[in-house]
Amino acid sequence: MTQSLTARRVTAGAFDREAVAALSSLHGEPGWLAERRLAAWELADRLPFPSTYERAWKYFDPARLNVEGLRAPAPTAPSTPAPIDAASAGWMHVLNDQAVSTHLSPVVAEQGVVFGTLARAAQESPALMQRWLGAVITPDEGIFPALNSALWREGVFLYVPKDIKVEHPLHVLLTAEGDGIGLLPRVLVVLDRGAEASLVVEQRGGEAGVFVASVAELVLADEARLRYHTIQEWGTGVQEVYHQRAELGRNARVTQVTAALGGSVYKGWVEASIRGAGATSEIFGVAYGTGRQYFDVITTQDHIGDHTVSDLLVKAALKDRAQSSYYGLTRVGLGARMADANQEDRNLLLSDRAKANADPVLEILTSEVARCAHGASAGPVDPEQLFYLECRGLPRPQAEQLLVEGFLGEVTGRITDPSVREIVGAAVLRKLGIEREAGAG
Amino acid sequence: MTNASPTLEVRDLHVEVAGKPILNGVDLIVNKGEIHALMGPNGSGKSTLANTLMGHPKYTVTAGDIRFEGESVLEWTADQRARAGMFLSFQYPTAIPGVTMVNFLRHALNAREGRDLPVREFRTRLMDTMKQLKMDQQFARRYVNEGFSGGEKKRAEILQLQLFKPSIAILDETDSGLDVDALRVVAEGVNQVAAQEPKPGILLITHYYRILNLIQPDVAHVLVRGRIVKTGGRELAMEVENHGYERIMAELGLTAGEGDTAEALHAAAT
Repeated sequence: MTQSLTARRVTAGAFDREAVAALSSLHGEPGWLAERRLAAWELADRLPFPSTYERAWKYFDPARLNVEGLRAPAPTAPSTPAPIDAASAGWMHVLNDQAVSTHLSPVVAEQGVVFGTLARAAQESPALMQRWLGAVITPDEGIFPALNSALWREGVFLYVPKDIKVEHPLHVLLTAEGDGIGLLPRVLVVLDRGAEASLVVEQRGGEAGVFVASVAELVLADEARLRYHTIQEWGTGVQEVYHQRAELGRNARVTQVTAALGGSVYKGWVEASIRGAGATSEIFGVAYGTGRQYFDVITTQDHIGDHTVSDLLVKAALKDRAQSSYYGLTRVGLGARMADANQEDRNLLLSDRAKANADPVLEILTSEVARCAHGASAGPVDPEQLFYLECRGLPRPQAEQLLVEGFLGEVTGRITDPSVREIVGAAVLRKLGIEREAGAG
Repeated sequence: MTNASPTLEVRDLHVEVAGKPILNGVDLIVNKGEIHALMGPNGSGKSTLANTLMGHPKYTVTAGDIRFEGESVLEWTADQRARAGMFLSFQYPTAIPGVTMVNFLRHALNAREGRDLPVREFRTRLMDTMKQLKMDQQFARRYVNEGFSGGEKKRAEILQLQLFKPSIAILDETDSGLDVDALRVVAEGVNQVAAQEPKPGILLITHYYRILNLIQPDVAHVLVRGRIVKTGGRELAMEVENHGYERIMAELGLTAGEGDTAEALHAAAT
């Protein structure tokens, strides 16, 4: 517990109080937002830096996070928008927390869909912003959400109006350039009643010394459907702490998919407040760790409403000295009659020095559940599967690779958007060192 | 390596599993184009022989040799044996969730042929072979052996046999768990492979006679307690069918001992 005595501050240097005021005036922000930023900054300044004493940090000493002496990224110039992909409804490139290009298909824009930066939404969609920004993940939840709430720069905002279904996925590419910088990406998705959308966030670039504290708030009104995918392919050495939570209305359905592939430390929370009756939450995760990568996810399937459903499948394949930690909580509240919950965490250990921690936890306050299942496992490659593949001519490394591909493929196979499934699958294969021939799937 | 060498030659093979001897000196020669039936009661070592031939790490060869086309393969890994042209059709094919048949077969066929097959060529070969085996096209999209019925598993093994065109095919109880129709399709598949040039050698390990009505062996062997006790023509298989293993054993002055109870000996033949 000596760590808690070490004063560590995230609010010094580039992230001091003056920086908050400067950011607000730079964007000409409305008073309410400037005030909220300052209030969040006060929290970030006051909240204790976490320590391994806290359950959430049991397996990773937060003292290992590079949060000191970070610089804010330099301003970047807007670039020409890349041509929009035919299968994409919209496209946004954010470099070092600054949007360098944004594109939304005119057809989709005409339907009233808003896709752009949070900074712009603060001017153009003030009511939505005031209502939802910081409402799902509040700054008092921890030092990192507080820091992000105080100093997010431009952010990503998606709003889909009532009953509008955006047919193709929207893409956000978050890239990092340089070292020693602190990035605070922030995403707010608001789907109005009956709306439907799919969003893909790809994270790339950066190098050792880059620290990322991100927040994603996902709001689904009644009957809304959202598929939210994160593909984390940060450069070697990048550390990220992320907070992501979905808030569900009646009969709403959210699918949160995370692919953890890059960086050196990737720790976060993926949660669903399954509030509306009949709502469904799905959480799917894949991780492939090599070298000394560390992936850590805490999940919450919080059944609050009646007849709510949740499913979770998180799989990690770990090589070399890579490590993963999983702490999954299924909570069934008093108002959640006949909840149907499932969580499954599987780890494939590809070396003697790879390690997986898995804690599935149930907290059930009712005596009336439809199902509340949980399971976790960690083990090496099945020797019989290996022998079967070897008997078909595959040398051991290739056989092992195929088994990892299959192990993780069970998760990516659950992604319903074909183009997204392909992107995530390709990212996993890239990490495995396999370039797939087109159409050979 | 010369054509004069037998495709498969097993010499005085002794094998242990976890320190327990299972095979006690097996001798066997399968030449190109020959079909051999290997019969034997439960626990006689049939599956041990099949797995050892392919190099399963669980089985330790303590004496003797396995030669493939004249070369000892004892030091070869399973994948080396497979790429050289040895093939084992598993009695219980392992399920591999997450790996689709099409992805698996593409990798395996590329390994076997030592080249990256053009996508179109691969697809054509796969679809044609599946059609011959009366397999639904959707089959290729399913995960390897995952949730397959007994018949589907065996059909999938024969599909691989046909695609890989091995020089020696070891079929470990490929007939078990099949209904009459599935047995017919599987047997037809094996017969097609047997007729393909260059003709492979086939070692058909079986428990039941019924598949031998559909696939005609040139040579039959009886394996008892880890040793081939009798070798003959097709009529030997018939004898086992009619009289069980007991008569052969009695003839050879062998008495039933531990592990080969009268029930096991009878059950094996019926």
